[in-house]
Amino acid sequence: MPAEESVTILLVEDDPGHARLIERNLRRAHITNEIVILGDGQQALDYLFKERTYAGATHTLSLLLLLDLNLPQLDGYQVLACLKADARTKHIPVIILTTMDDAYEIERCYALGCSVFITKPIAYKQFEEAIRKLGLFLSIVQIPPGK
Amino acid sequence: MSAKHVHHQIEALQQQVASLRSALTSSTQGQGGLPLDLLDALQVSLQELYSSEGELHQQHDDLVVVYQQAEAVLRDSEARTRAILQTAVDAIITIDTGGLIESFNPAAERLFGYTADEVLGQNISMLMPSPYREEHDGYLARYLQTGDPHIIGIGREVCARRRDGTTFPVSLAVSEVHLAGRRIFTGIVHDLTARVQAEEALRRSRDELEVRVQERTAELTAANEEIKRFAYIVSHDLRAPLINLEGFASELRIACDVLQAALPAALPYLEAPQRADVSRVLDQDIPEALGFIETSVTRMDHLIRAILHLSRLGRRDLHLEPLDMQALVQETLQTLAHQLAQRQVQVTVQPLPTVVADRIAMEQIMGNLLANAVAYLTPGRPGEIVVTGERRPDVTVLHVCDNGRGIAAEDIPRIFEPFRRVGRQDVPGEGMGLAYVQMLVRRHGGDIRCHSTLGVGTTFTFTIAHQLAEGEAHAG
Repeated sequence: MPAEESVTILLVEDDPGHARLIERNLRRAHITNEIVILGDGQQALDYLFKERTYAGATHTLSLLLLLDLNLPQLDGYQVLACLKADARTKHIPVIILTTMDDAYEIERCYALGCSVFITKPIAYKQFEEAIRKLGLFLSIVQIPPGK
Repeated sequence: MSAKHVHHQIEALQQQVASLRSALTSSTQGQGGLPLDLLDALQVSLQELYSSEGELHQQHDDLVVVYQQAEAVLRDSEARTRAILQTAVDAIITIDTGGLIESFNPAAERLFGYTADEVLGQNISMLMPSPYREEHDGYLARYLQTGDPHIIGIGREVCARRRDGTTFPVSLAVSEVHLAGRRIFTGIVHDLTARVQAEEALRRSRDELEVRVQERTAELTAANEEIKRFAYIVSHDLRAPLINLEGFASELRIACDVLQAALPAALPYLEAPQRADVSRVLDQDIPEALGFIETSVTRMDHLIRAILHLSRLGRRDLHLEPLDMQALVQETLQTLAHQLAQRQVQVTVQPLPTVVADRIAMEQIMGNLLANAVAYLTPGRPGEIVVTGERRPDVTVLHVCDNGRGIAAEDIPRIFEPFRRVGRQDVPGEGMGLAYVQMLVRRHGGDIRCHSTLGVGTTFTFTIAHQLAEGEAHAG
């Protein structure tokens, strides 16, 4: 993202293998921003609202969220809904990156306020390509700096 | 011989007497001798008269015999008719034009609970419940006036009333009898109580059966839905690890490339045996291991896709429309034109009935079956495929028959299983085609069977229901 590289990419993905592959392919797409990886929905909200384990944390809220829907401890829908309902966080762009391809569910996510919905390709080659394209896309996206 | 004849004879006799008298009168007056010839004639006439009298007696006796015989026959006939009425199983009642009971047979007595004496001369309406009881006189009067029969000569099921006031269903047949100078009506009453009760019992048990069938169907449908969902979930969830397998196999290759690039510079620093080991690991072992991983991953990917596809086939909504099967089969054959020409296969398509089904599904079914027929020919024998079909009351039946290599009897049940293939494996394929076909055919309320003789040929027969069970068109 052209604005300062201080934007952090928050990747909420419960499959560690996928998380790692996403990270590595984003790097190959020349994304140099910090990438924070969290494995469940509750942790994601704690991070966003600086609660519980993240109470008192000082990280930036200048964030881009890459969010999987199938998460333990609160699914992606709930994370999205909570995030968009709070003035502190609703500016954060959310890119849903999940295995789901159901039209009804996709519509539901857009209605909840996600910016973009991407279905993870089931074959790795396409998966890899999709992440690279996402990287290219991110490189031209403007993110609000947050408060 | 008749009385008239005798009469003539007596007249003739009287004339002869008259003649004799005049002859005697003239004789006593001294004119001529005794009239002997006249006396002779008189004698003869008297003789004739005697024999006539005799004949008349005989006739009279004969007539008496005939009369007695006739009387006996009549009595016998009467007795028989009476016996029929007396022993008839059904009630037989006769009434006059005023509706009054003239006869009431023993069966009627038993059926209604009255003795004949109690009802003779009474109005027939006493044997009917309200409102018929009040209306009967009117019906009868109207018929007598108009001659328009509503029940006479027709027969009907009505309600009757016993002495104790209870009502019961009967079948009533009324006929009209024209006697000299008057009419009577005969009613034959058949008790339907037993039949009505049997019908009730049948209806009840059929309703019970219906309910049980519906319950069972609901259970099966639910179980089926569960299985479909399970297949979908499982194959969907199995994808995620696959991505990791593929992804990290790729990462490993990249890492290998890095090592290989560094190798030439590093090799001189290694001792001989180690140098060979490192080279072998980087050039052979790792790539080989990765190769196996990748092949297995690809295989798993295929299998999962196939299961996913199969489960989707079971879930997809069907769009039913009337299909010109003739045209559909021809279009399918077009897509196989190359193989057909190459293997010189003769295809005969008999006139096919129209089928109401999902177009895409039917294309897949016929496509699979015809492709199989072409693929599994016997080398050395010119291929012949015949497609026929017929319409039956509940289903349409379609047959695809080939003269190919055939399937062994013990293998036939397995060909419909997913991922199973039988026989010589010289034809590429995944073993899913017939599993898809079976799924699609079942979605249409039908079934598919296979008859085959090894070395001779195979026929696939499938049915499509004319009317799908409720809910079948929209699944999951």
